[in-house]
Amino acid sequence: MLRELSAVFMAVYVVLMVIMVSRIYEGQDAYEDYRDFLKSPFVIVFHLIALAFALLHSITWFQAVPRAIRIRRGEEFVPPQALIGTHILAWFGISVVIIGIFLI
Amino acid sequence: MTTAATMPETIMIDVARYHPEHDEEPQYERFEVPYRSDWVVLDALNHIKDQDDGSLTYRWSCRMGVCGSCGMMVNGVPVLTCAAFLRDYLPGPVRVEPLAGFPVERDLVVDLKDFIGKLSAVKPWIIREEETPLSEGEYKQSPGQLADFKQFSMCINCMLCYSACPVYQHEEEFVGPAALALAQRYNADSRDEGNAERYPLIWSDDGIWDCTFVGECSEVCPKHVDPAGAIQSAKLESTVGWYTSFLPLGRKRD
Repeated sequence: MLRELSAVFMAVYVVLMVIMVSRIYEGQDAYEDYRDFLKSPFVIVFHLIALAFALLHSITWFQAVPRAIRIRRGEEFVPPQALIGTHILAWFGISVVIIGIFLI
Repeated sequence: MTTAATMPETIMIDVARYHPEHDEEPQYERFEVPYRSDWVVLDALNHIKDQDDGSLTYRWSCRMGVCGSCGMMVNGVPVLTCAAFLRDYLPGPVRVEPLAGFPVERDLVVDLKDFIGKLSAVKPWIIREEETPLSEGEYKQSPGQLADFKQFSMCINCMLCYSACPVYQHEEEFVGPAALALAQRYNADSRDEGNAERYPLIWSDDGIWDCTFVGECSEVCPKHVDPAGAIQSAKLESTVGWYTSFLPLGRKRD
């Protein structure tokens, strides 16, 4: 149930991002105003909740991977934990690369 | 934990009654039945039919979780009533209703037409491009190839997954968990060559893509078939199939 609810927070987060892009397009003043809005306590609390839901959504997503991907080696299936672990490692690695690109 | 000293002598059962010839809508009738710690809900229904009201109508057969005919809603959850112990519903009352999402024929009996139609629509049998003559022997299969689909072949067509599925409750066209899991069972069978015949229906909007992976079907499945998992596997195949269809040698995976 919480997983389904997480989609609502993701959607609102995306809307806030789209508004930010449009403010950047409008110019520096509009962007600065929007940044002040983002600094308000209410919006920061929203982002913290959205972050928690994003983590919940991502982790439960990877936990569901073994149900969709069944890899058989001989008569045995690759253990679910190995599939989940590989995906989480890949997720972590790709995140590091993306963060790296933005920081350089 | 209920000890012998506190064990009730009777338990109340609220049964949904519906007679299409003179009832506008289902009504509940309360029966008091003897409580036995080893009785299941089906035993209580049999007691009511035997002692209180012989007109009570419901389906059952094997009484051992194999035939799949005694599925009903017990306290709002789809279960096999032969496997639902009264002791798990203490102190009662226990509400027994027909499986949700299906038209009711009478009392606890639902109309199976929609389900049976969907079941046969996915062609749940081995399809061969060319049948091998019997004289050449059986189609051989390794234990590993059997493992690919065995779990999905355990379905007993009890329809609990349809009653648990929120998508099926809202969209009648949805092919549904059991039928899609069965399609996956044959698609994953090394002896079968009929994947391409099943894809148009199961890859359609009424097929796997209607599923939002709520996962309730797998929660209620008494045979641990994991229809939700089967549908996600099929989604993966469908996605790979869609992408490979753009390649020069696309969709030659069967």
